Amino acid sequence: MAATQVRGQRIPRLDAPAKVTGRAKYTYDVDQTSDPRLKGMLYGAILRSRLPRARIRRIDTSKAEKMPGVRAVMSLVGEGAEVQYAGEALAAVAAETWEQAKDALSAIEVEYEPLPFEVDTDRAYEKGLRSSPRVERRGRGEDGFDEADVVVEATYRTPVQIHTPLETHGSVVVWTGPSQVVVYDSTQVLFSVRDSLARELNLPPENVQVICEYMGGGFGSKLWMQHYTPIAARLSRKAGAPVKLMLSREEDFLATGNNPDAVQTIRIGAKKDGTFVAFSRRSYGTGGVGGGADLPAPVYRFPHLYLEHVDVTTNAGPAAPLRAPKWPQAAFGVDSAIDELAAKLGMDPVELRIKNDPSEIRRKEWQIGAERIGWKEKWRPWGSHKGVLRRGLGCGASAWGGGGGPGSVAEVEIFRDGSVVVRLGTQDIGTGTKTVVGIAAADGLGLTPEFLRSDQFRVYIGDTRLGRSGGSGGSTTAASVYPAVYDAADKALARLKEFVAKKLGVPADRLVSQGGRIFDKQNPTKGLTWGEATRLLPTEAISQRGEWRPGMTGSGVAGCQFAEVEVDTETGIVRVVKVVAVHDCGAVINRLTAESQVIGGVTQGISFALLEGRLMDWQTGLMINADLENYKLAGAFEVPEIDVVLLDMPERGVIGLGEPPIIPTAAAIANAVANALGVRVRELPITPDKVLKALGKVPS
Amino acid sequence: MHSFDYRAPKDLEETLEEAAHWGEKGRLLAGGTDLILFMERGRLRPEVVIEVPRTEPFTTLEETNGMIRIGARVTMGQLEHSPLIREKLPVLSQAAGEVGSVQIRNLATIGGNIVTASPAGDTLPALLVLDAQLMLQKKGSLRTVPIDQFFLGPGQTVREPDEVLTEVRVPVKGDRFVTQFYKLAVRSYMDIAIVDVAIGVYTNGDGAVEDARIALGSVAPTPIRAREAEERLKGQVPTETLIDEVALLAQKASSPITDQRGSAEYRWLMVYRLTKRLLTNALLNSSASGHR
Ligand SMILES: Cc1cc2nc3c(=O)[nH]c(=O)nc-3n(C[C@H](O)[C@H](O)[C@H](O)COP(=O)(O)OP(=O)(O)OC[C@H]3O[C@@H](n4cnc5c(N)ncnc54)[C@H](O)[C@@H]3O)c2cc1C
Repeated sequence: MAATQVRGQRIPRLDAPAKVTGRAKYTYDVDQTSDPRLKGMLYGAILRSRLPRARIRRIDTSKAEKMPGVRAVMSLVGEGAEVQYAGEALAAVAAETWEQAKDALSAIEVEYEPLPFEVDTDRAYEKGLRSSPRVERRGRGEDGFDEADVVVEATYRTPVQIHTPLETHGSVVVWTGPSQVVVYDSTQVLFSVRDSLARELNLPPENVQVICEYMGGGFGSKLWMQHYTPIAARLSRKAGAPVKLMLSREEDFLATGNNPDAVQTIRIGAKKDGTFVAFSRRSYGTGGVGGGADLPAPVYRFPHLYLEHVDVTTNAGPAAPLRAPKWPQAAFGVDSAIDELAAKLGMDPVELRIKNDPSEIRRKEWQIGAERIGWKEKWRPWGSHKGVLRRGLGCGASAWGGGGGPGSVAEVEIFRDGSVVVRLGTQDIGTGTKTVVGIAAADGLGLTPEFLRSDQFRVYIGDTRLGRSGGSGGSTTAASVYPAVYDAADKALARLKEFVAKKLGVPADRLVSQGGRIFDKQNPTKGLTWGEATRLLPTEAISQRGEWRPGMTGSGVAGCQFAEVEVDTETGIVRVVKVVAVHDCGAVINRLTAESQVIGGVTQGISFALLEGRLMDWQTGLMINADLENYKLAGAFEVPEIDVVLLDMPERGVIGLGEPPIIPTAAAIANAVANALGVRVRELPITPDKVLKALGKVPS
Repeated sequence: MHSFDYRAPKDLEETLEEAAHWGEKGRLLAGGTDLILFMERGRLRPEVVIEVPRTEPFTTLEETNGMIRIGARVTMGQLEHSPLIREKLPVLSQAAGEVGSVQIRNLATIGGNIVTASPAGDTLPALLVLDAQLMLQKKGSLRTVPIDQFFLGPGQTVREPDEVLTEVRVPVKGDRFVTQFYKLAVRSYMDIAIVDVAIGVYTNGDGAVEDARIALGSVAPTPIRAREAEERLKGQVPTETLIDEVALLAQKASSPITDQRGSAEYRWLMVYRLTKRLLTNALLNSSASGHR
């Protein structure tokens, strides 16, 4: 990709002022002040199963219907239905106030017939509530271990993690005609919500409009239409008024998806010189009543490989992909085991990785990261650290796809007064997509960062009335939207150039747009400013549509991270001192938001390493920590110095970066803790009591 | 949340009236950082919420005759930043400064922390070490309850429903009284304690301990003092062995449970280690600080 004045710079988010001033309206915020059609908006609420498994003998909504302010009540399950997890939706109401809706829920009578349940992964596994193993072999599989001089084996555990987006899930629905519906939805997939809802309501897709201009994160749990959207639509139709149905934090915890846990028994075999020979992993984990707990293969070179996975069924909400689904868990297992091998071989863990890493880019990244964290000066072997406060270093690897593809239809309009409008029905899930769309247009038109920030430049996204675009999952958004917008901008510019060419008497193909001027490349002084050029337009505006073009994007990124930690060996408290994160994403479009993705990934990785984890009470089948007091997330004070190193590789085209930075963090931290202590905590989160258990200070 | 009435008395007298009138049906509201959550979760369902007025004595913060008077509505933020508290009662300033977040500390009051009577209330071990006196007033009567006689169990105290906590009085013990506080939590900010330890020791000119206070939070149904441990220190010239013994006695005083924040075994060990760490800091290496 050619260099431009905009691509690769540090461009503040175009919507930053709207966000920090509160002008930006999220789904949670919309009401009649932001959209007059929402006048008379009701509040929806969902009654959820209190038991982990039960048959519904009777469900009686008659009392709720008579409650003050109640405008619609719906049973969602029939009598005799079986509920499979605590938090499953049973009934819904819409009322004039949120409080009235909550009161109405408590007036709905439900008679449960409790059924046997299991919420504990290990106990469910033992009871045989599990799938048959899925096996993958490469080379000679486990037989390959006979070529190894050294073998390590250990079992690693990671907990169920919850997505915890800042904005909980929910929709606001208004019927604007008998068969016309408008939905505000906090979603990662505008068009798929539109199409799914149209199907559910038996409407043509054009009759459904989905809006999500701003959204407070999803991390994969908003990648399809969720149950509350059609519920809100039906309540709204029944009540004849708009309905806002936003879930509570507890509902978010129980019923909108989760990241499966994993128990992985890993074996690695190597030659004396450290060359990897064989890898085997037997794993199981639970995606609740759904499946999907399987783990990806290691990124290192193993001639012989054996993977065996079993999905365990438990009475908990179904799993959903969470930022690089299952990769951080897998990396924690693999990179922990590699460090255990390095200790056994007496080898430097970075050298061991470089020796066995098939990726040329990552081999370079290991060097950069080691240099930046001061590995040579600081790293000391396991068990050589003394004192109460001990520091240690560790590292881990990542890999991801991040390619884009066709399916976006962008529009770029150039007005006679010089202003530019860009439209695309994509969504910005917090990653800065709106700004990427703007940058693509500015790149295609040859405009400057200043123009991008001016009020002459406007970007519209987040509405299905705009050109179709795909969902935001798999880190594919940037590589999908950039080429489509660029294409539209390029075509619009070509049309503008025709007028400039005529005016200057220069063939259009000799004209270049750059730095706010359109000029003859053979005689750069001969040209027009952007404003002079657009004034030549014979109509108010010209508009061009663009689609994804091949050749502007790539796929397949590497990446690695290094962590330095300090452990208080008396209390077991782990503090992350520094993380060096080295990543590549092809052509860096916006350095500022790209770095911010890395910082976000590392932060979420620290959270996963040290704090997060769903706790289920196996006796009651209920989640113990379904709130942000007891389900702990990393806060600002847990975020250490993060040194982000982004390799800009324009020749590879645009590649996504949202997910990979979360992958290696927990592995790097776990390895750093093990390095500091000389003993290893093989289970996340690494809480103080586990640290002391590992040190043999607290009985297991 | 359920529906309730709201009263905003102007001063102490009106507050006592309202409290007397509503009795068990009423609840006082200060910062609301506990009460509102309890109401949202259905743990408390008062018919009437009576806001403690922002007037004296509820807002008092001053020293008179060797006694520091802290009104019940004084916030954690005030305690954290007040030059008086920082200088004269640093252990309270530190404990208050570790409650919740800046936003919480702007609302949360000392009165609310005391009356909520959570075993994990962060200012409570500090107040135990300082021999705080609680002024409980109702229409027509006033009593003073030493803080170590106030707590009965989690959320339970000797306060009667119509009694209002007006202020907390803390005797100033002077420079020879050295204090330390440690809040152990997995997050360094916005987290509830796994264990709180506060200590206070008087040493005389010869280096012997004249008097001692050791208070623990989050390791028993109420915040507690480890009296046997305190006694063991008294009259002794501290040594490493003695401190170890005292820390073991403090551990004996605790009766931790396992919950989502930490196991009983872990808490038990932490009482010993943190007591030892703080006493060592205070008595053996006087330059070090107990704050992490
Ligand atoms: C996010 C968050 C984080 C928190 N973190 C911590 C923490 O780290 N450490 C900690 O200790 N606590 C923490 N808390 C709990 C809470 O902030 C404290 O207990 C606080 O001191 C309560 O004070 P308040 O003024 O808000 O009390 P309120 O909620 O107003 O009242 C609490 C109780 O005291 C009663 N009450 C209040 N004033 C009087 C009075 N004058 N007389 C009689 N009764 C009275 C009320 O009726 C109620 O029962 C946290 C709370 C939240 C929401």
